[in-house]
Amino acid sequence: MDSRSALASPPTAGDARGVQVDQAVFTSVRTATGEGYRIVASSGGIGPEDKKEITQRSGSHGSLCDPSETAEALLSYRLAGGRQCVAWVRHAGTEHTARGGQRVHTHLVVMNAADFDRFSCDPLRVRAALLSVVGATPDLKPPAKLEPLSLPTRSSASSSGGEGSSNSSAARGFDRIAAIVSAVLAGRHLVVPCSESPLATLAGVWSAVPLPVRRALALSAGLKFAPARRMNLSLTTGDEAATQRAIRGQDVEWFAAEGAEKDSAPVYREWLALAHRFWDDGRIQEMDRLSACIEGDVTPDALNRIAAIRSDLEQAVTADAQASSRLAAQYASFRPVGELETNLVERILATVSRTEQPDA
Amino acid sequence: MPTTATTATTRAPGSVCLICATQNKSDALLCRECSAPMALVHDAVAQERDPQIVSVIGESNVGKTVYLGFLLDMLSQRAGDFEAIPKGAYSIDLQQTVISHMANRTFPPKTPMESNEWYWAYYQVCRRTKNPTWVDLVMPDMAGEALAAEVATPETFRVIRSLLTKSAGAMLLVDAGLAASGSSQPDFFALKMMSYIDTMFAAKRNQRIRTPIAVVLCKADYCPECFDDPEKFVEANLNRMWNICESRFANVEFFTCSVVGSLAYAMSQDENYVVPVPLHTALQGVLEPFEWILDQL
Repeated sequence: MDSRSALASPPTAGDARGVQVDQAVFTSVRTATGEGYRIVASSGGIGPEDKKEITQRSGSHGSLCDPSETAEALLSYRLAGGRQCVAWVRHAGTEHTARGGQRVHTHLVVMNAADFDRFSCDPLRVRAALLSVVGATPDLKPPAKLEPLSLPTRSSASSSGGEGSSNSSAARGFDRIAAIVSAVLAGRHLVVPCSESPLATLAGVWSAVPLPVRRALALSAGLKFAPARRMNLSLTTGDEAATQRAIRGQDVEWFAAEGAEKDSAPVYREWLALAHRFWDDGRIQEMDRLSACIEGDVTPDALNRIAAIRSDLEQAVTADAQASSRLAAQYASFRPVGELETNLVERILATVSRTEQPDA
Repeated sequence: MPTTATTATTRAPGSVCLICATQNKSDALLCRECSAPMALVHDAVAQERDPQIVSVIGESNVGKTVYLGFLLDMLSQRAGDFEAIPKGAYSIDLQQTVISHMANRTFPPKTPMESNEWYWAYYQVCRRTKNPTWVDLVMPDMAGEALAAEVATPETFRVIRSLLTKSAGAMLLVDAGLAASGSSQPDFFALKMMSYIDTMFAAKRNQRIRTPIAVVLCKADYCPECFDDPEKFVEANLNRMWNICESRFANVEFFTCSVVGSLAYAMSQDENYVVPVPLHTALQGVLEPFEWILDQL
């Protein structure tokens, strides 16, 4: 076993089987029965209450932060009925009334919570899967009645790791990512103006957000802030003054770059330090996998403890015999909490045992 | 419908939304529930007079923004012996957007469904007589798609329900050009809208709704014949709406309106869409529906 395979977290999401999801298209097209933004196509599993909520929370004309033709955005939220909605928002040519601006096209999927877990509760993974199935060109003439979609949970297209790779310019500002993660973990409702692509920022943030928090979080990335969307986290770019006006006096925090760069005493110190190290090493996908393995407790103590064990696993890989013996002694009597800690400890012990007995 | 909005004097200053009565923080600029500007409340409190809401309703792309923009501009230019004073710069944004776009021979952009993006106008209006009676009017520019969604599934956009509940009068805009060309879509939308209002107030079968509703036949430059007799046009081309008006609404009047004098169509070689270009404006029938509503208040 080489050092990389020893460090790799066990895969938690992505397998050969696809998941069956409901789908809908929300856009502006002219049909025999009307025009303007509405759900123009949907599969049978999306009921009236789902449709109502989707209509309330979707983006309409001019809602994308980026006015360019290639702009895209994501929405992810739990519907009142309990299922997860992930919406992929793009521009799709000129708006049909030709009154200026581009048509906003939203292809959304609705899935059970368990199926969302199979995507590591990562909307970027869902987008990648959707892209691999429906293609890059938005369908402006879908039949009103759609069939459910089979989405691969392991997609060849880019997912969160791809969005936030170490080559990304977003990767340069981990302090900012850490500040956002801290605030998200603390349960604060944020509007974050992004200097980089909101999707790249999302990939960075998501890599350090544990699964239980991912499940519960309603987020938008790349869409203008709108109170009606009821998001916990809105990653935006563009007209900051308008957004600040909209959130004034609301229970939403403007998370500007100034003052949010560096949290001097983060309660998630070890957890964020681990994420920072992975980030600097260009191993954001490993961090993402680790975060996706976390179940249950996400208190600072629990996350810092996992980070410490994970750091020890890194040490175990490069440790000499003396350090290995120390780690072996430390973890021999260690009482792990939960499946992830058990797995990490087993791997530490397996790694150090090979170092202690190189011929074994 | 009640003839006035919530009494200004009974509100805690600057905290309870004029439209949906939600309690807001004192520094909020938009209502946290319906996104109506809290400036409406502050202005209403300052006037110590109950504002009256007049809603402009109609389906997407019927011309609500253009109509309301020109109406407000005419009022602020003292058309028809009216005097109108906007309360706050936000009240002028809509007319400025419409006038500047039309001056550049383009229609204003679509109104987004997100209610925090809607334009709102708060005007004090009176006729210039010896003893003028001032009326405070609040007029929002709602997105047609949001209206359609609310009509199809009530409570989708609560702000619309709140607005219509509190409206002292309404102007229902209908695309006359489309109706004249034989499309049933304007008739069905208008029927749904009137049925929604009827259901909202759940009046008994023998009680008709008394709120003044001006049915405005828009884009009449496409079918100038509807200027001659709007009622006859509605009866012939929008018969479903005509019937529900007759059965359920006691105070409906029909008007015809047009703002575009001549229209050109343009398209580029590499795009497959056609852009309508308003070459010049020629306002007809913009003020009359408003005048009638005001007389009914």
